[in-house]
Amino acid sequence: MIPSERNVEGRALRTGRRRALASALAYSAPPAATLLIGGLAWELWTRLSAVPEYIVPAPSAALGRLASDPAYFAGEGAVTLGEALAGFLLGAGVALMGATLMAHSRFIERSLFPLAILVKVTPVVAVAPLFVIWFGFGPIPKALIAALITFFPVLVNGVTGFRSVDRGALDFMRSLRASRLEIFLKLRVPSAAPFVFAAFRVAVPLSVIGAVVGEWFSGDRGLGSIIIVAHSNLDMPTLFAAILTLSAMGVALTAIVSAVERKALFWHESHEEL
Amino acid sequence: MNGYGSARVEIMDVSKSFDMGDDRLDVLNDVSLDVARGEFVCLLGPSGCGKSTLLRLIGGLIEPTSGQIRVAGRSPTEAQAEKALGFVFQEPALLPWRTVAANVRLPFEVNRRRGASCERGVERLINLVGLEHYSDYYPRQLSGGMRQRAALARALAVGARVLLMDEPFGSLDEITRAAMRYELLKIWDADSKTVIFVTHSISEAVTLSDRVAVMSSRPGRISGVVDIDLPRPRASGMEREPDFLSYSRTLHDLLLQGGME
Ligand SMILES: Nc1ncnc2c1ncn2[C@@H]1O[C@H](COP(=O)(O)OP(=O)(O)O)[C@@H](O)[C@H]1O
Ligand SMILES: [Mg+2]
Repeated sequence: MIPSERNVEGRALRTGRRRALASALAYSAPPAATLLIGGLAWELWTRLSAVPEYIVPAPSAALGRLASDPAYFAGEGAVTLGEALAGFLLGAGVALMGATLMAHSRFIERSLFPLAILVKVTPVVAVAPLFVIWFGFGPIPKALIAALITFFPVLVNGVTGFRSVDRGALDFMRSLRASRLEIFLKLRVPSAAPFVFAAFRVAVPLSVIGAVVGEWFSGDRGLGSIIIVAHSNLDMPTLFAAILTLSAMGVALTAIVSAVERKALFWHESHEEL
Repeated sequence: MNGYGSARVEIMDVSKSFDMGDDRLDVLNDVSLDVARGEFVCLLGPSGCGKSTLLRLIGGLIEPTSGQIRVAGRSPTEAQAEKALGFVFQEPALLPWRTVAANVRLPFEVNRRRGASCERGVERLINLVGLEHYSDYYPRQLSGGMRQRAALARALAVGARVLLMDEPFGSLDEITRAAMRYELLKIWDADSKTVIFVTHSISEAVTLSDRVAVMSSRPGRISGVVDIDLPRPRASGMEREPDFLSYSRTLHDLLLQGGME
């Protein structure tokens, strides 16, 4: 409308971007420094106190083990990651389909939601042995456990999200005689995205937990079974190396989800750059 | 302007009640109003008297309990299917993940009406509301007045013949609001839609309308209809003319009578 208004907005966007970069640094530098100091203190303590390595290994020992055979940890990590991601995709997919049905019908919601809560309150660890019996020693039971653990948060946020539609926008669509499908695709899905991404941020690390728990019960692949074997051998450096690999995986996955979320939800107030 | 023209709106003995558990809330009682093609009518009344409900009835978003509504001789549902209705709400209700242009394109997309002619249509509408430099902006990057312009362009898309406006300038500041009134009149002059405009501002009603239907509450009904015989085009400054003031006083008295009962 007024040309100067445009320039002001352009400038605001640019400084906003710079500020976002600065704030990313401001957020990542302190924890990195804390981690470094904590690691050094730990290293120093294990050397000075001569605590046996089979109780607490020095960080250098754990990192050394990691560096001695990176392909081994990466390979087993990939197994765990594959199970977790397959489970996440399955759990999230089923949850989103369920949420779609529930958001459109109170009857379906009333029929299915109590079952979903039953799934939620049943500790996944308790059903894990059952899955081994049913689905064998391969990756399938692990992925299923990961799926089960992913399911509930995505379902709940999906239902809430599909229903959290702006009343005026919905009325506008209805005044055009838009079909249910059009309203779903053009309105409900984008409106639900912030809720669904919030669930993903919770569910992605959970799916890794699911895969690791599954590996504890059966099979000889993945970081979970490395941990079990290392534990029974009191091989602490290997155990810690596996844990470190899992942490790194968690950080990377969370970062990826956040990055995708920032791209997809650029319009949402939670990603306001201004 | 886009060849779709305007449509007559007939409201015949319409009543509306809402079921509230065991209770029944009578919101509208025997409302009748005939709005001619191309006419600009304001619904003026205190909040809670059922103005929005009446507008939603005309728009086919809810069904009357009794009585009938005709838009261009057809039911509101048929009018919806023909894309004859253009809603503008108090909140712009734009889709925040779409640019201005994409928001205006939305009505063309519904029921698959996209095409080259649609792109031209979108561009023309955006120019019409004065947002030509902002088609690629997202709603949150716009001021309140600009968002409401975008919402107006969206409502005009596809060729709505009746504009249903529910306090569209209600959340704007006084200065923007005054400017938007004349802006709307300019667009209406060029496009000659039938407009039904809800407001609780007397001066807004006098400035805009050919006729003002004054509503009173509990249950909501039309307590009087006043013809506003002021020359067009209307221009700012008219608020101080004696005729304007006398219409304002008439409406004020009608509103008070309704409220006294
Ligand atoms: N869907 C609904 N269910 C129950 N009551 C409603 C509904 N819509 C509106 N009402 C009631 O109808 C009355 C009139 O509302 P409304 O039409 O929004 O008034 P106005 O727009 O004039 O302020 C209010 O008392 C409101 O609570
Ligand atoms: Mg209202």
